Amino acid sequence: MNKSLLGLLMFIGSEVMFFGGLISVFLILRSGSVVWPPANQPLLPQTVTAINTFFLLVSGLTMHHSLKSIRANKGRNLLRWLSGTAVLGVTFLAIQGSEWIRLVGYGLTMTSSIYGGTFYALIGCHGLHVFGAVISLLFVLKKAFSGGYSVKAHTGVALCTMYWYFVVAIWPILYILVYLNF
Amino acid sequence: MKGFVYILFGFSTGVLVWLFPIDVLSCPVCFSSASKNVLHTYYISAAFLTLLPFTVLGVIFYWVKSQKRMSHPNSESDEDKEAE
Repeated sequence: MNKSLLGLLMFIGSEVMFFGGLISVFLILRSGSVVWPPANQPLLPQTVTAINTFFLLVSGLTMHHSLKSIRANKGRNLLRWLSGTAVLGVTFLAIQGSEWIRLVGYGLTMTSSIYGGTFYALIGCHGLHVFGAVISLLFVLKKAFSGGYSVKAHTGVALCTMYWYFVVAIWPILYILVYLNF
Repeated sequence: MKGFVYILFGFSTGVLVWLFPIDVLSCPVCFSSASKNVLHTYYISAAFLTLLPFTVLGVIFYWVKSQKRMSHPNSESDEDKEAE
C-alpha cells in the first residue's frame, strides 16, 4: 500500500471536516437571516460561475485521463492531459478572481455583511485550495516534461489526481449552496 | 489510602454531576436566536458534523481495503480454498 496516498487521504479527510464546519456555519447564519441575500447586497453571478463550474468539472475529467495515460505508459498523452488540466484550473481561478473584483466593486466585501463574510470565507478557502492544487500540478507537469514518471513510479501524478478530485468534488456543493441558495 | 481518597473524590463528583446536571449551550448565538429555524439548522449541522468523521474514516478504511485487494488479488480466494 502506498503510504503517501494514505497520508494524502487522511489530509483530505481533515479538509472534508474543515469544509463541513464552514458549510455548517454558512447554513446556520443563512437560516437566521430573514432575506438571503440581504437587500442591500449584490446578487452572485450564477451564470458565469455555472460556466466556471463546467470548466472545473472538465478539469477533473482531464486529470483522470492523465492518471490513466501514465498507467498505460503513454507519456505524451500524460503531458497533454496534465497541460489541459493546468489550463482549466488557471482559467477557473482567473474567472473567479475577475468575478471577485466585480463583486468588491459592487460593495460586497468581507466586512460588508455576514453574507459577504461567509461568501469570501467559503469560496475563498476553496479558491486557495484550487490555487494549491494548481501549484502542485505545475510541479508534477515540470517533472513529467523531464520524463520523471513511469508506469511503475508515478506517485506524484496519483497524489495530484487525488487532491484534484477533492477540489473538483467539493465545488458543486459550494456552488449549489452559496450561489443557487439551495 | 491516598488512592482511595482520590477514587472516592472522583466517584462523588461523578454522582453529583449526574444528579445535578447543568445545561451548557454549545452555541450561544444559535440558542439565543429568536428564529426557530436557526436552532433547527443548528441541530441538523451538529448531526452532520458528528457523522462526518465516521464517514471519512469509513471511506479511508474502504480505500485501504480495496488497495490491499488490488495488490493481492488472489489472497481472498486462497483463504477460501484453505477454509474449504
